Amino acid sequence: MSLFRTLMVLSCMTLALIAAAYSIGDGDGRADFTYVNSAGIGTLDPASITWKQDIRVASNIWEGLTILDPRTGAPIAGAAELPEISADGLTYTFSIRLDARWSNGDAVTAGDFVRGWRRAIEPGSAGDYAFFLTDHVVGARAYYEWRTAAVADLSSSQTGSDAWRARFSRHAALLDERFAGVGFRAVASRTFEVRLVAPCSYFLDLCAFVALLPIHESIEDLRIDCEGSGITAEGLVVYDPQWTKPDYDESGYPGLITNGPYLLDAWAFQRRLRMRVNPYFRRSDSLSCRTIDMAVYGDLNAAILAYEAGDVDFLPEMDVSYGHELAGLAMSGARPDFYNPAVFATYFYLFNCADATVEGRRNPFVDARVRKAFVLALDRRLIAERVVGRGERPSGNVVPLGCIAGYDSPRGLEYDPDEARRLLADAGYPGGEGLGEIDLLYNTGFIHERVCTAMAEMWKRELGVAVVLRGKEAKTFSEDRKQRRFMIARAGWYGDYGDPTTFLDLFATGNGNNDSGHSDAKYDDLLREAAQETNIATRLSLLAAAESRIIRETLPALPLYQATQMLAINPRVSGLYPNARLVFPFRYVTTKP
Amino acid sequence: MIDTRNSLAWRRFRRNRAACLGLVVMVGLLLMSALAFPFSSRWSNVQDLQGAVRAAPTLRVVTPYDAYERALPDSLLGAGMHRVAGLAGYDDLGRSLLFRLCLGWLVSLGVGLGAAVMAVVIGVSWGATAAMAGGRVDAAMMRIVDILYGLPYVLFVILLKVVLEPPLRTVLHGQGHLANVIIVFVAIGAVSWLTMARVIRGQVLSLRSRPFVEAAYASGVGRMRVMWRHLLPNLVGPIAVYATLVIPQAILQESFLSFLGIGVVPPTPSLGLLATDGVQAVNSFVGFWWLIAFPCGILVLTLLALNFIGDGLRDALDPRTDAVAIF
Amino acid sequence: MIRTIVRRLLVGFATLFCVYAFTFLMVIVIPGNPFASADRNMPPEVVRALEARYDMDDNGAYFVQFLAGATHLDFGPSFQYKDWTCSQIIAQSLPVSLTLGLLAMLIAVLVGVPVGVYSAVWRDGWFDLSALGFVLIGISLPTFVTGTMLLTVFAVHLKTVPIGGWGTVMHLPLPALALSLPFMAYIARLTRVGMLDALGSDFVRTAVAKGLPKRVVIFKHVFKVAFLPVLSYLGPAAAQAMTGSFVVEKVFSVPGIGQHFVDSALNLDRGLIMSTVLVYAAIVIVFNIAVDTLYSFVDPRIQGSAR
Repeated sequence: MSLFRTLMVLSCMTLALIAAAYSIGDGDGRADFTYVNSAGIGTLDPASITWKQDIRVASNIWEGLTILDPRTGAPIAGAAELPEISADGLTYTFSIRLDARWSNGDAVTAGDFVRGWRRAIEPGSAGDYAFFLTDHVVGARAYYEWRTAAVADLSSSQTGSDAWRARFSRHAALLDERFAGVGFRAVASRTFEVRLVAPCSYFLDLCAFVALLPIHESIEDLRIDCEGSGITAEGLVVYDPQWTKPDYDESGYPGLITNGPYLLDAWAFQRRLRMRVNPYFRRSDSLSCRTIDMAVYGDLNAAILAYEAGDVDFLPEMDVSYGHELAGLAMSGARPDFYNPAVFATYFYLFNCADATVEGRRNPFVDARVRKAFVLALDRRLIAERVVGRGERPSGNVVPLGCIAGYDSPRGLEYDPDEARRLLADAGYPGGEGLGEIDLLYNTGFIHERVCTAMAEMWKRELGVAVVLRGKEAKTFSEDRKQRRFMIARAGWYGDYGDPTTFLDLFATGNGNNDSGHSDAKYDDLLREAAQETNIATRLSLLAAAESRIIRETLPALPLYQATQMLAINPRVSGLYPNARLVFPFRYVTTKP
Repeated sequence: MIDTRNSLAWRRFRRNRAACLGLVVMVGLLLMSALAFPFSSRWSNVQDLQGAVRAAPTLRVVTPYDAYERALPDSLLGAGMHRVAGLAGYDDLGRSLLFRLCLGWLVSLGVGLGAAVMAVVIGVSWGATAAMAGGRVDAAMMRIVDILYGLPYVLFVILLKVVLEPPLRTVLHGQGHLANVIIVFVAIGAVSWLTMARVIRGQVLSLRSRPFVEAAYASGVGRMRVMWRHLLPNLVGPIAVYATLVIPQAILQESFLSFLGIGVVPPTPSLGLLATDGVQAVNSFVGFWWLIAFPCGILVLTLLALNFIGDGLRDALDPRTDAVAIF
Repeated sequence: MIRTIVRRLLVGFATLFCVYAFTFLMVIVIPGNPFASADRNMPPEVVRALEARYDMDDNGAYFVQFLAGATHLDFGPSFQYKDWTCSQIIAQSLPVSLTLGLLAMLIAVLVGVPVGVYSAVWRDGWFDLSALGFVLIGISLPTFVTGTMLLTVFAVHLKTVPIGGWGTVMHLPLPALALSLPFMAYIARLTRVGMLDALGSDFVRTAVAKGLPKRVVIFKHVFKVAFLPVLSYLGPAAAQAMTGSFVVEKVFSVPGIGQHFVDSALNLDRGLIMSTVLVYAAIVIVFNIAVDTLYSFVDPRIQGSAR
């Protein structure tokens, strides 16, 4: 019996231990408003944010020059008044609000914006959206390229060697002088001026994006610095990545300071993130939600169950395998708290247009006729309605339909299997003979998997070709796609700003995101012409001609549908507006108990 | 002498009701899926996106015969198969769940068998070599097993896919799906042999000190010969038992990999893939009960049967149950 | 005794180093770039500069640098979660998994051992058969199925516990139960076999012949012997349970370390892959040594290196 007794003692000890572990839980009660994040936070550094989930937090704790109106999606005044725009449309002068305050009480200055914007184009701190500035702001591209070349130069010599020292000091000495040539600057403490290379109808839209947020000066203490130059030995601009933590206090750092309606109160990794009203934000007393929790549910099924139980108030995503049922409930009105707004995004697949062989096998898609045959053989209505079925609009276009005022979308190709078979025979593959196995690359996820399975079967039936699915994990997938180790690959694109070029640039020769390898002189010419055109209507018609070229002739992509996003908002919450850009500013949210 | 021992074992096995039941279930499932194979192999991916998407189990004919027909000429068996296509309902793409289950069961069993063969071949040679060599070699070989236990499994599977896929596809020429299934069982087998090696090493160590082996050594028989002629026949029992028990483990492992999305790649079905699909469809709005009930039911039935058989085999081959070999 | 432990710890460190070296090899062989984001491409110069910054352009330097950091538990930055270091991630998620794993092992032993004992005592009776069925189902169902079923029954329909998450005591029982099922089943079978083995041995026959009551024989003599294999299983099992389970954490939204074993590999997050592997291997080694030490206390015949 003694062994049993030992067991009992052991169990009691374990239970006591567990109870002890629980006396230190996060027990500050439920927030006024709780929403779900299914993937955790990648980063809260505005310059390098790319995930929607991260943008959602950052755009609530910071405030840019403009913000997007959640009802219309149009830019409205944010931390600054709407700017004065010069007659030639090239110079924007923003006056920062008198009552714009950081969460520690400091006034928001034009210098804070210069700091934030500069981080967005410095190698090291710059992220995927550096092109917002390098494409539009005077001198930004030159500076970025000069810096990038210098970085390559510095890393080619041994750090600490004499050669490196000479290069480094030469480069460091020129830094501020070269930066002065970039077209954004603080004219006065509250006046921020931006000079553009060409008029840009959507520039205020860009100003609302997270990459162009202001940054408080306190982070300068966390800059990793080599010999007082402000850059590292490799020439990069790097900060201690801990600077986004609310409770980081190394070397006198006060913790993250932001200027938005909310401030970061607590952040536990992959567990919970709490926001609290920023007391220095203008009229902060009138904000209805005082505390906001971001709850992490790794499995969206569980998140939906938690929503149904009333544990969470807002589900910004509901990508579950029964999403079509939820969409059905939303559209029939049975669940008025479910929404499936069309979003500013296209779901498409890419053809490898450039490489004659892929992993040792012949790639038939270098022939535009084969690409066209594969597009024509696909019944995208069936895929949108029956395979995905969440209210997606089948579309043969790359630019989402009806989202851009004044843009007259060209007509995409329709389902035509007979023509597809004819084209395939023309290209030398009658009845699919001689094509070999076609690889279809996608990143694992049930929707992609389902769509790919359905497409493979359709091509098999209509064209007689054998398609092999190659599901890969996100990172290997993106590496494969970037290196063009694919014949057909899944893609998809969320528009970054309200203009067709956010989609059309993807297929331009030399674009960093052009994974299809598509290169067409006529298309590039049309885009270039449009970029130089000042008349808005003519510009849009040039862009429409360019889109027509890629969706009817050269076909680097196979567009399937305009995406929708399922979301759920508890009826006790008001002030959240389902919209195409998926912007959800929590400052407008009010909750009933 | 071996003969009497085997028939004795068989008699003992037959007395074990659970094991016999398991055997009957496995044979039944095997017969069913083998009979259906000519059809399930071609029809399991035929999609009816119009009428059959997520249709509940029914005796009615949902998908017209000509949707299937292109795959196989009309025959009596084919017509019969066509009539029962809806028996287990349809999935998200309007594919007959029955056909997918029949094929998926075979794929899962194939993965299990493949992994078991790998585990036996590598595990027995590794474990026996270590035990026979003894001393430093033994210690080193067992340390390697320890190290391999510690390696990150998911990373290993991804690596295996990256490394093995291109050459396998070249070798199998136009059989991309087969290549994928092979990678999955290789990935599982490459881990299952570790335990096998430990078990076999233990067995050989205990056999080595038995009088009959020492007698063989004393009469001048070489090491290899002792191994082949004297030790291996005595290892057949534990090997058989362990191999039977590796199969259900491997099937379970495959379902875990499928859950992660790095197992068998669709449209090839497997029990794990079907069960994952079913679990993901569980929700509080609409009940797609057949999507979870049938795949999980078959999975449990199969694994139970295999476990019963393994237990029965162990009792039959080694009446003094050995605590080390249980799984 | 102490010499044995020290020797095994030294071997353990050597094993750890080998695990690290092999993992490192695997990580650098797989193509893929930790700085890549899903849809957009970074200019190659910047990627190269970042790699230089983190010593990733030179595998040898990275190998040494990471190892040097690891000796004082500094595992460097995570590439997937850029604002966190691997040490922070582990520090936040490991305690969660340890708590859950401890509770799961407790449940597994407290249920598994008695079930095993009574199935052996009443061999082939109704209890034995139903226990066997239960045990085999525990082994036969994937955790993602049992977990989902538990969640649906207890959290959705009966509403006795919250749907998922972490933070209060009520968040514990369901994931702990789901995590314990396979271990429970295995322990029950192990106990049963051990009991049957011992029941058939000579010393038991002697004890019974001497006229000792059956109860005393079973619990005092048989059980003591039968528990030994369970004890040696508890080492690896506890190590496994306490380093978390991807599936359980996913189904019940538990912020444990198990998800990082899988996610770091899927995301090719080098630092996190190697730090989680090192943590896992270290825990396995420590538990094995602990159990073997315990073993030699319980059964003095065995010295140190029981496997």
